[in-house]
Amino acid sequence: MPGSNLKCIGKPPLFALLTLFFMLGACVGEIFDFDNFSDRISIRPTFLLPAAHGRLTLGNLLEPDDSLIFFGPDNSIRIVIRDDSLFHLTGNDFIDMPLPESVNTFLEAGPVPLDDFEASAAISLDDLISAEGMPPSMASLIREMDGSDGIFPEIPVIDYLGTFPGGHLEDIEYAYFTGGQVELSVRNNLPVQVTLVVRVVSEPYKSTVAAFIFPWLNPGHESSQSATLAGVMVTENMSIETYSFSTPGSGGGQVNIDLEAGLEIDLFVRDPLAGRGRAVVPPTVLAAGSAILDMNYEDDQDIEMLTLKEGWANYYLGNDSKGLNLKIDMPNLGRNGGIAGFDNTTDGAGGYKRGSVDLSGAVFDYSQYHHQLFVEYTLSYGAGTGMTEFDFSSGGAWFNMTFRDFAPASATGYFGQKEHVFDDEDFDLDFDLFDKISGDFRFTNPSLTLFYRNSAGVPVNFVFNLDASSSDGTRQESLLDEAHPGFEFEYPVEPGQVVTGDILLNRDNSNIVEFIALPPSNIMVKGRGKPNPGGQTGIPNFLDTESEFLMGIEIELPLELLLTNLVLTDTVDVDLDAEDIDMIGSLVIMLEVTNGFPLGVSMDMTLYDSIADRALHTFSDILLAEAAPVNEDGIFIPGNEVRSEAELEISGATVDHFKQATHFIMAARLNTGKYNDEQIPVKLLTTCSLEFRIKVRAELNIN
Amino acid sequence: MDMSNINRRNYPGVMAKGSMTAPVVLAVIMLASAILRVNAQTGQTLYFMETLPQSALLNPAFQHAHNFHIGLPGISSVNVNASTNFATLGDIIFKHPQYDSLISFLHPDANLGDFTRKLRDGNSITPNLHINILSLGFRARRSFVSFNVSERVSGRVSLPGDLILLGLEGNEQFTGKTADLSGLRADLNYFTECAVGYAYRFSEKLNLGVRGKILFGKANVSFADTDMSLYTDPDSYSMRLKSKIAVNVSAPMTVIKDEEGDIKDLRFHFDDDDYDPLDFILMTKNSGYAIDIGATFRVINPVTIYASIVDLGFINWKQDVYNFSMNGDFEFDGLDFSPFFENEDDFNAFDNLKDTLQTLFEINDTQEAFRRGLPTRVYLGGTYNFHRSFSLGVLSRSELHQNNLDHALTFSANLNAGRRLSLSASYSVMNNSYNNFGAGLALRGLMFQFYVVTDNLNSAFMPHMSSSVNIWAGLNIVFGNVKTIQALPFR
Repeated sequence: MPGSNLKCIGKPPLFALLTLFFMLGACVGEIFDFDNFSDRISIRPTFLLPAAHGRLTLGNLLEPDDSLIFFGPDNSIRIVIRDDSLFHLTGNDFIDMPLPESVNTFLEAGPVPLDDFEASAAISLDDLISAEGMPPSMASLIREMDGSDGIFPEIPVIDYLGTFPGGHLEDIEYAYFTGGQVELSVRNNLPVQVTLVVRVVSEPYKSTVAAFIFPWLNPGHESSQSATLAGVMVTENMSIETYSFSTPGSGGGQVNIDLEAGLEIDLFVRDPLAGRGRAVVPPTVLAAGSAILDMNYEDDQDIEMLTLKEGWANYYLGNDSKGLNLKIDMPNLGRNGGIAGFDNTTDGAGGYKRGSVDLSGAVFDYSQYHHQLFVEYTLSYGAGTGMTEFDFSSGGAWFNMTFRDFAPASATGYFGQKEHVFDDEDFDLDFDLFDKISGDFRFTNPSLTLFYRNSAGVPVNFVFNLDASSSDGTRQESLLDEAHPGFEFEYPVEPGQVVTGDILLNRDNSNIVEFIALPPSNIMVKGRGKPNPGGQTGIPNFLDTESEFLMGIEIELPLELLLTNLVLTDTVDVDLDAEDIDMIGSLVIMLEVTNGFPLGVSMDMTLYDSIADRALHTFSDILLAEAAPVNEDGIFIPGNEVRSEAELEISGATVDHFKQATHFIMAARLNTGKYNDEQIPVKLLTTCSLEFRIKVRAELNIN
Repeated sequence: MDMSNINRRNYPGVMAKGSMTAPVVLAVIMLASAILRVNAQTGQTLYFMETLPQSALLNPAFQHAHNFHIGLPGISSVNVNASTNFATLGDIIFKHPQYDSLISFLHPDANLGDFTRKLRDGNSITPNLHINILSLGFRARRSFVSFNVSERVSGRVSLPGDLILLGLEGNEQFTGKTADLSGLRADLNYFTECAVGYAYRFSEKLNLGVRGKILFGKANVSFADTDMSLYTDPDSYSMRLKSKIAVNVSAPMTVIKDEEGDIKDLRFHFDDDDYDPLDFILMTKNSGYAIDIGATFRVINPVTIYASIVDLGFINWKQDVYNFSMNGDFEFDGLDFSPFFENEDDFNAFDNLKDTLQTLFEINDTQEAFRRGLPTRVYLGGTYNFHRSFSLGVLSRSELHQNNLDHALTFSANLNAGRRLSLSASYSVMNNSYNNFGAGLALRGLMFQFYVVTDNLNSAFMPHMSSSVNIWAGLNIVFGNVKTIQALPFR
């Protein structure tokens, strides 16, 4: 049967395939059990990299235009440390200028004399009968007879008739008087005799100015009476209060009755003295005087003329009166062609006047008042126009005057011999290298130059020294001997002249070689100056506005060196990223140097953990560059470059040390080159060159 | 169906005397394939499974044994293939040598050298995906007409061995030598294929077929020109990097540039608010054409030879096109500090280096359309029919892809047990590995024909020994059977 072939061939392979399928499926699960899959990876590729290379010459390593480094035409190099203002003396340093004594006094002043004044008033018959004290029947009777002849009736004593306007004062708003007279004049224009008692009062306070009695004042007659003004307050408006008014009438006779006729009253004030108030005050000098103020110069000084570069007078005037004027004149202090002084007026605010007067440019002339200041003062008040408020009830004004900040601009005379000791000062070499080196080194030809510029006509002897110690404090040196007599500098003999000069200190006349070899640390400058060391010679000293003495210092260090294991140390903070370091399996840094410097460098580098206070690892004696040889003059001859190679390997535990390190402590050891195997001072020239190449072999550890 | 008649007529079971042509041809093919490079392949086992309509995708001259077939969307044919030419899964993940755990070749306890020794000059990863959207075919006397629409992804990424070694082991091993990085390649295609096939039986011996294809490209990334190398000087460690790369891209994306015209970012349109996936699926602007040609020829009665060319064509990429190129030659000798010593203020070595690198390796971009050919496959093979239902076959497959010619050689035993069952077992030399055992199974019940085929059966059961994964599976609906010998596909 045809189908039998199919069965014979198809069934066994199908069965075998299914069996194989399940067997192999079980194997797959056995081989790839991803539950136990570890996803850790570690790749450690090794890369070789050219990190850096370069060529440097000393000429382009050092900046030629730097204020510290200077190149010579022979390619020599000098380190120049300069301070342009080691000492700077101006007028104050030559003349210790004293201040004048102060003025503190009470100026007697007041009361203020005012101009005489007067006021007038008229009280008509109509006013009189209309007053509140007049009986109405009497008033009606008299009013009916107005304009006609009739019998003027008797008016018995009326205790209070009324108050009538007493006039207006133009020049006084109010015033409290301490002296003067007030006079009241009354003229009777009534047809009958009257008897009056009147009181003059100031409105609106009703304060009494004065009270007067005018008995039996006949018709057509006038009577005057006066009283003192002391203790009286007067205001601009006054009233007349009428007391005890009476008349016997016409006695039955016919008289002409006119309501317009009455009493004429005039008030006169004479020689009024006001303690306080508000009024028009005529110009008045209240007080005047003078004072001589001592200026305590040194005893041996004899200043003839002195111009102030700066100076101030402070004054205080204590009085509430607005417009009180104080005028100060200082006749021996000239200014702008006149005399110095000031003229100030109080404004009454706060009861005082305070101010300062700039005296710069003022000239003391001590020819009449030797070392003294003569002061005249005048206290005045009043302008004659306009109301002003015044108060002299305290009896005057406090006056105080002091002086400050006197500094001479120019002077002539004899300035004395007072010695000036300058404060000790740190002299900053501004050369950090000195702070980081130790070991034996010599600048073979250093020098120090003092340069000065003098425009002060004063001979001065300067004694100074530079003291320093090494950074470890074990050695101290002074630039000059303690017994050095100091230096006297040239000075001008007439104003406007400027003298310059310099003084050279080198290995022949100072201790500068040893001083620099310390190397110096904490350099202290000490100095003192004595003017007129020869005493008074008859030639006056002088200062003018431009006078000064300026002394600078310049230390010059030609790069001619002898270094023997000079150690230059530095500490660098380290904050390396631990993750970055973890990526480093090992690192080899290779340095190739071709050195044309007669200067060799080897280095120790310590990885330091400041937290644990311990050194973790030290790379010792890494030869960075070997010193090139020199000729007998200490100069490197091109073509004799020295090639050196160094390797720094960081691997294993050292990698961890890099992670722990907080600081790198680096100590570079420097030695100068040799001539015939003997160390001699070498000259570092701008042409010295060095070529280097840095390569890196880094095995990374990527996890 | 009277199978016995058919078989009797055509498979006498004995090779004809004096017919030595077939063994010679087979031997030549085997020898050629063995000496040429063998690489990622698909469909070798399927090729001789004549009852499957999908076999015609590999040779358009094939006419399967049914009169009509329909392939439904998504289920009728799915072909997934991924392979490498340098390592098996077991080279990448394996058991810890001491402990009961699984580790990768990068594990600290693994011997990285075991992996790097397997690296080749060009190490490729080849993913392919072929999903049939719709297909149908019918017979008309001696002809067979077929239509199909497919979504296809094909690609190849090739990494130079020296590049991988550089990343894994650094450049120390390359001192004094040039690390050749030129093999860096990538060619990834995603396109829709609409095909019409026609097969005609000229005689009992000869069948010819052709399939025309219109292609609609969706996305492409392809390296047009690559020339890269790194030389490390043994003394100074200075490095010379030569980098010449040209990449063409057509993808739904926009290149974002900064004010200076430098590329800053790539913005894919998928992220746009107004993005419509349908626009992408139905995109037709990147059109292309391809043709498949095939033939079968029965040399003598038990021996038949086969030849086909598949995917001979190209796509013109015009939409959302970017052409990136870079051409730099840089020698790094370390940072030169000489200028620093001359003028410290003007010195900025790192910025200068960065500027130099940016200038040298500046990425230029244009937007010019480009044409890319499809990876074209050439199949040559033959079968010897020992029985009317059983044959042995050998198949050589060559793939031309961007000047790379890859080969595979497959031996297969094929059993066509009637029209309901087909079985195939294969052994392939491919992907530089010699342990590729394949199998195919096709079962028909009523009008449903299920099949599953793989060239790498061992990738399923012994993945650690496999350098590729390959499966072709689906469900066809077939109607009608060929009743006479004249109607059979190629016998």
